[in-house]
Amino acid sequence: MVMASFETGERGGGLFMVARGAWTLENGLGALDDQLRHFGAQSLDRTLEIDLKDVSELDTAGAMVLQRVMRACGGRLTEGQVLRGFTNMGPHHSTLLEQAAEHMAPCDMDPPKRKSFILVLDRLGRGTEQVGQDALSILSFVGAVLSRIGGAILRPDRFRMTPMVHHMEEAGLNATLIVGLMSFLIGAVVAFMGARVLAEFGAEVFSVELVGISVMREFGVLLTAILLAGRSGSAFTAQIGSMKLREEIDAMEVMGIAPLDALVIPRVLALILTLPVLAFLAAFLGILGGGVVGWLALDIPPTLFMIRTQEIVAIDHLVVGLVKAPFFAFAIAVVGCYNGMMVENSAEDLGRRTTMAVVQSLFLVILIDALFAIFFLELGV
Amino acid sequence: MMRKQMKRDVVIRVRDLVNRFGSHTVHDGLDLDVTRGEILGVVGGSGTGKSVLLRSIVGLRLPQEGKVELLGYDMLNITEADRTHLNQDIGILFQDGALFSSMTVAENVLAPIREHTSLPNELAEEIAALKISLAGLDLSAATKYPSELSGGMRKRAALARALALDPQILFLDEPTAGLDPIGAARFDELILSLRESLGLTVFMVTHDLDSLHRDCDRIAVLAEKQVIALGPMDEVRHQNHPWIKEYFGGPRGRAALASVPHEEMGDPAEGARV
Repeated sequence: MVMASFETGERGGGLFMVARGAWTLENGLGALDDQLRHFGAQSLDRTLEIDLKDVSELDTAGAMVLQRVMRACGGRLTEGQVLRGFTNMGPHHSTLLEQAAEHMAPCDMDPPKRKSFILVLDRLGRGTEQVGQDALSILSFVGAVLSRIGGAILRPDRFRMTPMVHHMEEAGLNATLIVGLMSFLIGAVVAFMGARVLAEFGAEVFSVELVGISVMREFGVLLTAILLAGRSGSAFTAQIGSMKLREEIDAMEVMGIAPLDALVIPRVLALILTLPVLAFLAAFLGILGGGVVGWLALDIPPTLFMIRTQEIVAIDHLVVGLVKAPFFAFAIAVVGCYNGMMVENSAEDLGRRTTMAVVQSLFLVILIDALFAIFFLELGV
Repeated sequence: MMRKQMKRDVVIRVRDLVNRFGSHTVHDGLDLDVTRGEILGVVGGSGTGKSVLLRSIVGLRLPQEGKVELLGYDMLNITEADRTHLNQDIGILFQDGALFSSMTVAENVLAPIREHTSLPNELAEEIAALKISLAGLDLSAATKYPSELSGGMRKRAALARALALDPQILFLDEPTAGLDPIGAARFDELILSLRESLGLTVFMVTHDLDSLHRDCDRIAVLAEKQVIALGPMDEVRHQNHPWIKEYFGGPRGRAALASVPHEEMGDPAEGARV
């Protein structure tokens, strides 16, 4: 295939151009573009003739470029004159040139650009407004969920048990392995690190208390909540969001099925019921992990570990830990479902919302944890 | 025109194609030829594997057995480099457009241009604008995202993207499904005019009887795991297969026949007699 090329010259007061080779995208049309623009700009308002005798191939891009040169030279072409100036066209050439003339137009490809400083301010303002609106909208969603839960308590026959059990299995039972493994390892790490510091004071045996208190009070429940925020919160958003995208939510509303009752409440309750159980499991396995490390690496026999845990570590710590679990669960589930219901239009939005759900629920979990810490400090528990 | 120059060379050649999903056989020894410059309509009941056929031809699905040749390339043993080359010569319009949702229409059309050529930005954008306009979209749609477009506009945007690199063959998967009759008729006209001006070969999977009448030079009927009929509309609809009889002789088939100009279809009442 001969690459596209052209020659220009003057003849009888006008300009002429001889196009050669294959004027297609594949054959070097891109390389000619600058020269052609240059030629076009040079020869404004002069008559031009373009000879297509030696053009072996032409595609829409080639036709468009030729028409562009022609327009730059001969001024605007009027109706019925789109082929004026071209000579030795093949029939295929003329159709393409006509099409190109008809459809080429300057087009604003990029959204209008603004000054970057104003853009920053603009984003800041919009972002702030968005945060406020999001907060309000989540709050109203929380209210709606609470009132629906109240409704479910008043009319238990309308409560959807099967989906709730399903979600308990998905979010709870299926997460036991990973939650257990993680807490076991955390307990082991806490025992090990604690023992190293405490050994300096000859108080290695206090690592039992360290493990017991930290795992029961904080780590067990907090890490479980964080794991579920990533695992179940995002899943809730993705499930509900994709239903929203396929108009399933709209179908429900039209049928008189409240999406809150059918989708949100079972998920929220399922998480509220399973998170404490998982947190309990996490606390137990965390202590086990600490015990195993103590036994294998720190020479604390299992019996001593158990006795110390029983005698010194008060059960209050476990209660303090588990009390937080339902609140975490509520925050995770509500944020997950809320973001799912807010998905609009595109799969991209679904992805954005899923990320947002995880970030928001992690933030809320840690915020709630901090509030509880202050609360328990005041209570002196 | 282009078609005359190219004579009757076969651009798609399918031989003994076998497609199975588990134990369910969709195609069993299917043969099909598509010649350059024609518009071929593929029809068939649900589940007869129209889309599977399309996917096998363009190489999105590897058939269990058989031979598929697309523009001379053996699709079952194609190298990566050939594949890249071939992709520039085919354009596919998926059923719901399959536009990239994170990009504007213009960016969608630019995507294949940027991927396969190294054009200056300005020229690439001019080409994209031309294609958008060719596909019958208003240029104001260029900066919109697919989610902001109506179904018909999405199809046109997807068509613009399929045409971005001046393909030789255009594959259309139910191009008029989900369009209102006016939009569908315009789309039919658009396909015809594009074929005229760009010398396209069109492989169209469709259920739209009007499109079949208006656009297609030949029709391939899929049934019983094979192409049971292949030829111009007039020939195919007189064949004595129960599905064909029901398809073209049913109320919708007759209505579509009646609406087509006489010179092409003969006596409009003929449809009723079939």
